[in-house]
Amino acid sequence: MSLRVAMIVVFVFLYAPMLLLVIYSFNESRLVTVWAGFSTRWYGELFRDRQMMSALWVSLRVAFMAATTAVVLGTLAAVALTRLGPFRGRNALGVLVTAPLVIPEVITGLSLLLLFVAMGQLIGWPAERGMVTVWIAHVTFATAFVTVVVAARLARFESALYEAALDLGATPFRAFVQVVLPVIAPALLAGWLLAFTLSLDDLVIASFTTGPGATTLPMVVFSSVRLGVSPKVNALATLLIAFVVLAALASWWLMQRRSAYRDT
Amino acid sequence: MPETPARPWGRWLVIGIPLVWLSLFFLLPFGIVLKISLSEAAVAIPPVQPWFGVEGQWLSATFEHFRLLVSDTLYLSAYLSSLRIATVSTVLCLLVGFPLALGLARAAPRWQGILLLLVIIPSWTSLLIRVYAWMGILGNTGVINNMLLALGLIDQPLVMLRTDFAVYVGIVYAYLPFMVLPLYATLVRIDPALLEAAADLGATAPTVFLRVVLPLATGGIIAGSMLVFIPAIGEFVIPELLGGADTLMIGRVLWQEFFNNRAWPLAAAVAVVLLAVLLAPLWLFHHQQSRSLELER
Amino acid sequence: MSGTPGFLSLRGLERRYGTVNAVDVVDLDIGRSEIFALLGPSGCGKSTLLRMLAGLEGIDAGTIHLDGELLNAQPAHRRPVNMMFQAYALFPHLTVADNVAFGLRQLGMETARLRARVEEMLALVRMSDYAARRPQQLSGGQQQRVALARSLARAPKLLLLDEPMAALDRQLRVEMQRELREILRSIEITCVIVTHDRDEAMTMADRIGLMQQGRLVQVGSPEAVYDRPRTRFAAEFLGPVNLLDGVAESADRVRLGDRLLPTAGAAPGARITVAVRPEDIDLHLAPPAHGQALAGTLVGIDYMGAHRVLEIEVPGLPRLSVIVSGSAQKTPPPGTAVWLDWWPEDAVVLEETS
Repeated sequence: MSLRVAMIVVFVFLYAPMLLLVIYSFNESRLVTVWAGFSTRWYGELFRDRQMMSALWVSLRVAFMAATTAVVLGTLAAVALTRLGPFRGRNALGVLVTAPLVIPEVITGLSLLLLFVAMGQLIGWPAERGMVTVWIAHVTFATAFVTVVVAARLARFESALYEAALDLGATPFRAFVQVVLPVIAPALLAGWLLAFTLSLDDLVIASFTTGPGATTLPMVVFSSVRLGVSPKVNALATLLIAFVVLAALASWWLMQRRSAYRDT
Repeated sequence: MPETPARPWGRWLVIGIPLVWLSLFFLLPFGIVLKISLSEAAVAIPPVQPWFGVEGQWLSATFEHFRLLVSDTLYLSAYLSSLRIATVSTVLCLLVGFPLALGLARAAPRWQGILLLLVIIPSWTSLLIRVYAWMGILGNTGVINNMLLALGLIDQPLVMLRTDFAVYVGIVYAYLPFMVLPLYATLVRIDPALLEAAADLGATAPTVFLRVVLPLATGGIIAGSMLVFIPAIGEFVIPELLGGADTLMIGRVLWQEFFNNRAWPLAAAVAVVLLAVLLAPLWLFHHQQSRSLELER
Repeated sequence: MSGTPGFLSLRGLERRYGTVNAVDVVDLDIGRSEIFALLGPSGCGKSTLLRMLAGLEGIDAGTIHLDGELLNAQPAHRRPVNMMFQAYALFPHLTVADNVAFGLRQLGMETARLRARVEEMLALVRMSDYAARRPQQLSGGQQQRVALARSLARAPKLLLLDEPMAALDRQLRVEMQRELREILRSIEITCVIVTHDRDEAMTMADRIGLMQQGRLVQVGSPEAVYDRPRTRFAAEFLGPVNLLDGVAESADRVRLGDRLLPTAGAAPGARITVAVRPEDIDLHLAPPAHGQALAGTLVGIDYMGAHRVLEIEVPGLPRLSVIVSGSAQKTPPPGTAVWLDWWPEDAVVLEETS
């Protein structure tokens, strides 16, 4: 019983701050935490904010490309780590794949920037930093997360399915594409979504690796928030929370359906 | 799956592509950080001596940045303060997260999915946004102070924002899911019969917890703690938004050296030392990860 | 049966889950040093009953007395009762010796005595050489011995065994059953075993309690339950059986088709079911002199090693199984006409309860 009370307290701790953000996003007053009546004016101001909207567009494009690339690389790494048996460099790959999960972002960001600068001096590319360099940076750290998600799924994968496909004449590649991929598809989707949100959310690494003309949304939000609370940011936060909750409900619904399907 | 000798190149592509990418964009940069940390600063764009020094003598190393890190107490105290804040936050996270993880693991199976989702959802929303939420709660005109003032419990607002306290709250709030998930994963795997066996053999509830649950959860405790501790040490956003001017954290120092002072070599040196500090916890985390992967199979 | 009755005494014991009575008014007395088996199919409530004895399951009604002491309100960790769990539930983070010592440590026993007791227990189950191993490094049979040593270490007044052989493979099972029985007998412990395996129950127990849908439907020695089942369920659960429906002609005669066959204890005129074990049927190749044998045709033979199971078709009756032993050459070929009869006490009249 006391465990249940503790759980409720922690969940309140987790959700109350976000709930307050949502409530105050509908506050008429510019002073965010002083209630002055219901209003949606900050949503209007948010959409009219040119800088924020163009930063959002940059962020969405980078996140989409980074997540897609990271799923490909992460799946390859996960297959290599869980399904190919021992090979030279397996340990090295294991370290390279798990380290970005925990390495502080300031280090990853700084090191990638210095790499890009060095490459620019050595081979002339990238001449200038921008969306491409942010994309490379995000792929690099998001791959680690995708690998963990997919490797966990592959570790539980029933080898007999793959072997049956080989037995029925499929090449290893076709067996992977036609049998393994469909079965682990939910994990790939989960990995993609995780990579997408990580990229969309990243401030530190993007700040280091970006260049002129490629300002991401978190960078704009950060410079505005640094000066204090702002009702426009509350409106943006509410939209983001609504989006995440919808995505969560959808994934929960999918999970329910799948488990119902399994039970029959 | 068996190895497939028919197409060894397919095997090498699967291993090679991620290995090359990560070597190029994750491993190699550390070498460059090390190189830059040993370079002279320059008033130029970029503010370091060119990659190939004058006349191609590209290994003109200088230890002046590392010497500065040791001699100036600012850096030493920033490292120590980072360690302190990360340690305290990790312990707090563990104290808050353990009951939650235990409750999740003991919940009816049909509830576990949705409860787990409820733990994860906050980590899908932006970290920046979640930290920002606490600015509105802890500030002098924030929700807590407004309430306490309205209730007449205080007549001066409590100073909470821009203190170490706010940083602790922020880190625990932001990193709690990373603590809870590995804890849950180990706790849910504990066979309930073991707890019953312990009770059957005369152990009281606290003894069952200390002698059976806790030892069996060690893997999750280590993994969760490292997932909080390591990134927390280098955390920048949380101390920047919630901490005071005197909240020294090394991630913040690195950022300021890099962006405000444009001291790239010094920032690189700060990163090198930070990485060295993190080697032991990183090794511990990696060791734990590969052990649990082995168990998984 | 050995010992004094009522050492363990259950009165009106009940456990309900919603509208289902998992354990439905159970009354039972078990004597000191008796080995008692609760036998039944999965879901019959036997495990729930065992867990109620251990204190791991609540009691909705009724009482449990052990050695004159009421156990109802005592939590699991205070009861003088220990259990050997189904998959043994050995602590993976502790060595064999520490597993055995676990229960003793809870008693706050001093180190020297504790060590002596652990050694004694490991010697009892012949595992002394494995004290420093971890459970994962042991075979299934070895794990079982450690689990037994652990549950005996505190010298419980009552030992509970939950499907003790379920985690072992077939070969090992027979061997371990014998060994376990010897150990339990040698220390004269009172013991309740839960199992769904009738051979296990019959080999190990002094008495068997057959459970069905939360109720104890028959209690008795293995021979009694096997030879004189009271219900159709009991007859079928304990082994292969021929169930024949007929009308009681007199107290010791039942009409099956147009023949009168011997039985015992029927009420004249009633429609009854008699149960006859295949090995109790006598097979004749010529009609016996009394003229009241079932006449049929041999239609199938299953060779089972030491014995053979013959399938006999008798007009108007379900197909009968007859077990014959002895030399295979004496078995007639399929198609042979045969006559069947039995002794009165081998045809048990069943209660029409189920």
